[in-house]
Amino acid sequence: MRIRFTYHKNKPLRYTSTLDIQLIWERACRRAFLPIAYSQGFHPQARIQQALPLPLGFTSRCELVDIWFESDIALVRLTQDLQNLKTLGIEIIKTEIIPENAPSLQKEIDKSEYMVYPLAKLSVDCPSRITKFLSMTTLPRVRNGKPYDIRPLVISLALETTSSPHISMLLSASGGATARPEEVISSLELEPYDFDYVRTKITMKVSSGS
Amino acid sequence: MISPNEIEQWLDRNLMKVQKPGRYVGGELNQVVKPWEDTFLHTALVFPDIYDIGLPNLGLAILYDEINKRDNCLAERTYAPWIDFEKLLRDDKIPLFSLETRHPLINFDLIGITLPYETIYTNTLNILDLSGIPIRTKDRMDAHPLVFAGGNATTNPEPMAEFIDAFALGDGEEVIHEILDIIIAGKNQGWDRVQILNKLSMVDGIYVPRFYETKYSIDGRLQDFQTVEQNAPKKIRKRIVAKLPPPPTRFLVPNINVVHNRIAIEIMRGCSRGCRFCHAGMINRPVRERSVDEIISIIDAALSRTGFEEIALLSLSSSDYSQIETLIEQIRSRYLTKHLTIALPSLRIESVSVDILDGLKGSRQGSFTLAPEAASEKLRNTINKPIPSQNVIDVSREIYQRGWLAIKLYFLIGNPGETMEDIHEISQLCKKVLAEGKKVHKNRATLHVSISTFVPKAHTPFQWVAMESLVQIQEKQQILQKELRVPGIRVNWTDPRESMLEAWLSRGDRRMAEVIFNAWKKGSKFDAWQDQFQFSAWMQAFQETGLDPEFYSHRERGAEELLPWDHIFMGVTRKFLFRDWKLSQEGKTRPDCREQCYACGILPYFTSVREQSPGIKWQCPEGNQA
Repeated sequence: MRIRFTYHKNKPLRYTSTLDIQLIWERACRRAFLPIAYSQGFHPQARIQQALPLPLGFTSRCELVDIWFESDIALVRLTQDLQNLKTLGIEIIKTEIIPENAPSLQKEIDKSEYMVYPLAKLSVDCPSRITKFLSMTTLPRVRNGKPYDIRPLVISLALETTSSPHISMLLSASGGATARPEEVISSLELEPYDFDYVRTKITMKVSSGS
Repeated sequence: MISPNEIEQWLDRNLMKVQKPGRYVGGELNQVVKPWEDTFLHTALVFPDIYDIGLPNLGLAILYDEINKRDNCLAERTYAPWIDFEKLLRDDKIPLFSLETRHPLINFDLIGITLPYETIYTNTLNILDLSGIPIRTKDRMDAHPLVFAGGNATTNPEPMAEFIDAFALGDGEEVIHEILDIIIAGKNQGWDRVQILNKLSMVDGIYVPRFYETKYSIDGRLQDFQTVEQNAPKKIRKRIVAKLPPPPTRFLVPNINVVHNRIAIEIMRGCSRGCRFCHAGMINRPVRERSVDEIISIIDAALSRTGFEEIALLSLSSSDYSQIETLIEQIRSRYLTKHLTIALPSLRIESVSVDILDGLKGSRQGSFTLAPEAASEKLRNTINKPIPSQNVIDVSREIYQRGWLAIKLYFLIGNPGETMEDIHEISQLCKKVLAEGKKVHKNRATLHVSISTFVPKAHTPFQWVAMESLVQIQEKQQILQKELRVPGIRVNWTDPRESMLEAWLSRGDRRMAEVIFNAWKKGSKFDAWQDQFQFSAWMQAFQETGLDPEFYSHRERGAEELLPWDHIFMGVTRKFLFRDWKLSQEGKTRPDCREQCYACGILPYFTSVREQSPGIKWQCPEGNQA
């Protein structure tokens, strides 16, 4: 049985990496004695799959994880048994059954949306920097020693002047074409450490229907 | 003073600048957060190395549990910040804080530091400094926290005596409550620092260095050690618990990867083998076991509270646990299908039975570790670990035959009386062991050889001996390096300069404090980390202090010499140790003391402790008759 959980990754866990988040799910299932499935072989691994690794330091309102179980379990029980994850910083908001043979989560992802909140007052010329960014057709950068063009990976970028002003951005997250929000901030010539990052939406490719 | 809230905000802005920020935020499953204002006594438990190493420490887990069980007390934690984070703290003048509530350490009533090894001393000074707490006890005021230390390295507390207000010696489970009671009483009644320390010094197992004075003779040896406070005892006797109390089951489950991600259960405390180099074996007597039923119920509780994938059954010599086969069988039948790894470190070669190996087979273990320590019969008699080479080879064969591809062998070089012939025998034995592996697994069989350097330790029969010189050790390491350059064998060894540091600190006197302080001032910290250790800083510190390092490491102590730690009684008498040293020189062994009592001192000096819990079985021969 393959279950997809949609969850919030809250502040207490924002310094926990994707790999360690996987262990948190595994241990939560083990504590509740849920029949989590393991791979075969000398070093069996729990069958858990996550979508689009969230960079360290970010929180999220839309994380996705698929977990395989050896036998069928009522969704109500699952939600109940895993509820205590909330105190750690994982808040489950949706639990659904996924066909065993559905494509891997990672393959289904198309775009991701972020809201980026300034930790102090935002610089006054932020709107003009955004306008300048959007006016460009190409913006070469280097990440981990490799050159790439960030501009085509940014689908939309805007300054939201609501009660808590922030920058919102919709980024490509498909296969090798993934942009990181802190790189976008850096491209705006702002200091990435001066912001708090929240992932707000993951969009699946149209064919998958989610 | 900065508030916890301000620290939190500072963290939000700065943590992304450091490696593994998850080290500094806490929030683990089973963390205990109590309301600060409503709790009377605040304790900070400190492991003076990074979070990754400190979090799994069982000693602190026990104290965290014991203290937090009390309504009027809370225990929070902190670890040594790594260099990158320390720089940020210092740049912005942020004091070191607790993980649970972000309170600066200086705001706590009591700071409990564990010192499991000597190479953590400079980190301890650094942590006090980062907390804004005066480094030397004499500079602390009434409002400052009381700084306590315990752990294996504190059995010779003298090198750290200037920095630590009080030491707790031996088992901590009972004495922690007596310490808390006194500090609570002091806080209620407005006692000053000296009054509180005075009361503490009267508690069995607590050593308050400021109530003692030392004198040295012209040749540098300790001449006199005197009590300067009438209530303080002349000799401080370690604490032991008659029966091992229920252990913690709500282990902290870290949100980031640490060195041991597992449930740790102490199945037995103490060891009856009496290996003469072994500090832990001498200071943790007597042998006390937990029952199989208790261990199983602990595992059950801990699994449902942690979800960990691994259980470690800890002791100094696990295969000597009297019910080991029943225990392994029960664990196997109960948890086999649960994808659980069982780690059983510290197996004694002569008591590893085929049944134990069969029981462990198939649990997800990498390599199998054995510790022959020496390879020649002569040297094994010297160190009182008489295990014939054939025995090592036979056990290795059985291990390889049960599917393990890798074996790890531990050896100790530099033992008293060791010759080059003894060194050659190590490489010969290693080759024979690997040959057994190759018979089973062909070229897939491997052997990992770990070579440590012998450091004479206080409270062992070798506390009088001179350590080998740097040159001698390096020469022996080179020989092994050359002889063991064989496909399938991997060798690692400790840096002999680090062993020197361990030697200076482990048998140092009070004057060593100045050396530690100077070395820290020169930037020494994380001395246990090969890439951080600065030998030259230590040599300079010695020079400036005017002390000779060789006086501490390479000098044989006289039979009558007053040793800096003679006022600390760890349950084993000086007379017993001295006799054992002489027997060692004659090549005579004293086998397992469960068979025959050699009068180490435990039974006569702890009669009353044992009487408090009648019917409790210690593994001492007389105990068996009781």
